[in-house]
Amino acid sequence: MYRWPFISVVLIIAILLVLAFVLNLSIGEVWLNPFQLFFSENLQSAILISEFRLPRAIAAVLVGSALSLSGLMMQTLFRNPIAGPYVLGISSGSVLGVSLVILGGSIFSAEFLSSNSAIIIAALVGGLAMMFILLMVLKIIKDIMTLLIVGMMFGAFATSVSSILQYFSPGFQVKAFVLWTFGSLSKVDYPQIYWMISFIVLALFFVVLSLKGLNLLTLGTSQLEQFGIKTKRLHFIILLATALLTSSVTAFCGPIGFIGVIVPHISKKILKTSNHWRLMPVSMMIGAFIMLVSEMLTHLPGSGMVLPINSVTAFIGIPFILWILFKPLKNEI
Amino acid sequence: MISSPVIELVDFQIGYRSKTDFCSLTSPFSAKLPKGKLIAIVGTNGAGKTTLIKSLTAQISYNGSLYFNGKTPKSYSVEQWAELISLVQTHYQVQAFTNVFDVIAKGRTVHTNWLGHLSEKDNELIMLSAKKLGVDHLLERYFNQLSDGEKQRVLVAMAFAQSSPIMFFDEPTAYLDYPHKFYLTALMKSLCENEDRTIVFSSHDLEVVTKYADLVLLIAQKQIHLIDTKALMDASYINLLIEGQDIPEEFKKELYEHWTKKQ
Repeated sequence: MYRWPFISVVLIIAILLVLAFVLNLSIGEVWLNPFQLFFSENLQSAILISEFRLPRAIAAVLVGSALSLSGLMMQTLFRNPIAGPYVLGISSGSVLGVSLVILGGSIFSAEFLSSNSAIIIAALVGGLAMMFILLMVLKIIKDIMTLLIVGMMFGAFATSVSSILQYFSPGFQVKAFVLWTFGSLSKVDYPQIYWMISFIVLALFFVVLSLKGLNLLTLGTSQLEQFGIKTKRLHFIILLATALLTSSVTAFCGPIGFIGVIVPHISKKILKTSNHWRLMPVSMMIGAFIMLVSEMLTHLPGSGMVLPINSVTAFIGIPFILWILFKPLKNEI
Repeated sequence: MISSPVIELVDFQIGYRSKTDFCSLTSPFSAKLPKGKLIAIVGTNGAGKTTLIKSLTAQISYNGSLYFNGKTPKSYSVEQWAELISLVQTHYQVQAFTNVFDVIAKGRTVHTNWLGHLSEKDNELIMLSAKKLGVDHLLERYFNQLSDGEKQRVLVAMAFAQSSPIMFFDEPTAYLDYPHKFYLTALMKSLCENEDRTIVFSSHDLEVVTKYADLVLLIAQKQIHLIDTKALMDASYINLLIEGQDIPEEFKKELYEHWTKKQ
């Protein structure tokens, strides 16, 4: 079986990534010539790019790479091909936080809570609270698979609480909440991007710390002590890294599905390796690329309408997941 | 520390710990396993061979005391522990696209820095152990595409690359073909003799065990016996193995006769 050299794969994806980025800046309600993007004399289009499209494209890159990396780590940790960044219910924590703020705010007539920054803080607090619960659970459990079940249960709990809140909320609040769950990259501004970058950089530190252990996990044994790795500590670091990545992205852009599940598979298929030193950067790049493309597809040509980003990622993602399920990587070579 | 690896067991019992008490599989057993010996664990299905290996490598709880070089397993740090022992178990769900080189390289994990970078010496040892096990032509292949026997040899190469003075193998010869069964056990034997390592392995292949092992840990009838390999040929011990199995009495007799005739 032929395998592309690593450097050439990285180069090709990098070129595609740059192309998608530039094209992303051009596409929108108004089409801008990609060759004149940065040399435009027109003040209006300069503002359009710097104030709206550039933060949107940067957000797409950050979201795509963070979710793909998080998904890659979850798939390796749980040895499960359909695990993703949301499998542990981190996003459900964020959803619960946001629903408490948007819907709870209306019930207790505290509408000021529905401001954009309040939502972000609520989502972040919800996601991180979920992370702390999971880290506590990790301390007492013996088998890491238990964490998966606990995470799913907490997720279901959070969903049920938010549906109770929805039931008692006025329609416009429910709409605001549902719109948030659709995910959006267009509300992101520069301060938010700086926050996202800081979270992701912090998470990357933990990711690098866990790479040696992640590579050992590909052996498929849960006993790592005999190799000189503290299993609990490794699980702790992986959980911390993925939760930081997932909750920060979810807080600013809403829960965005499927990217985190499909991208690790694509990078494994392309690289044909399980070495996480290679899978990590390539997954991040492919994730950013797919997110940029998905974002472009949300703009219906010829009209100002923008589809919710989640519907586009699902549109690409679901056929891919079905394909994974029915054609399982040629017996998991 | 590494110069005299010896395992000491005092009133050692294998079994399973529940919340309140210990459900033992064997009665208390005390022994000293000398260094530089090839020690085979022999027992029927379900007798507790794997449980014994898991207990000896401190993966599961046991009753009594266990000492490695006079120290309990708990008193070793994780790194010291990995430098002292290596272990190959029976089941590995290796991730897709993991090549043989990467699998063997995992044995070097404890010797690499925090980034897991393989040094010259690491690479040399990986190549050396691959060569020893005759899997050096497979290095670029994906582990999951190999046959069971090849997989087994790669896993043993991984343990060899770890270069620990004490090694544990759970049924290393299970999937191997006739020549490789003998070759692998002979290799283990030579490591014991030439490099003073202590190797404990479980096996059903009495033919291989009696040819190469120095000592045998026989688990039969809820008892662990440490016996000389020659003693395993004795009718009494073979009888211990056969007795108490849920097979017809006539067949037991036939088996017993088969074994004594062979000797």
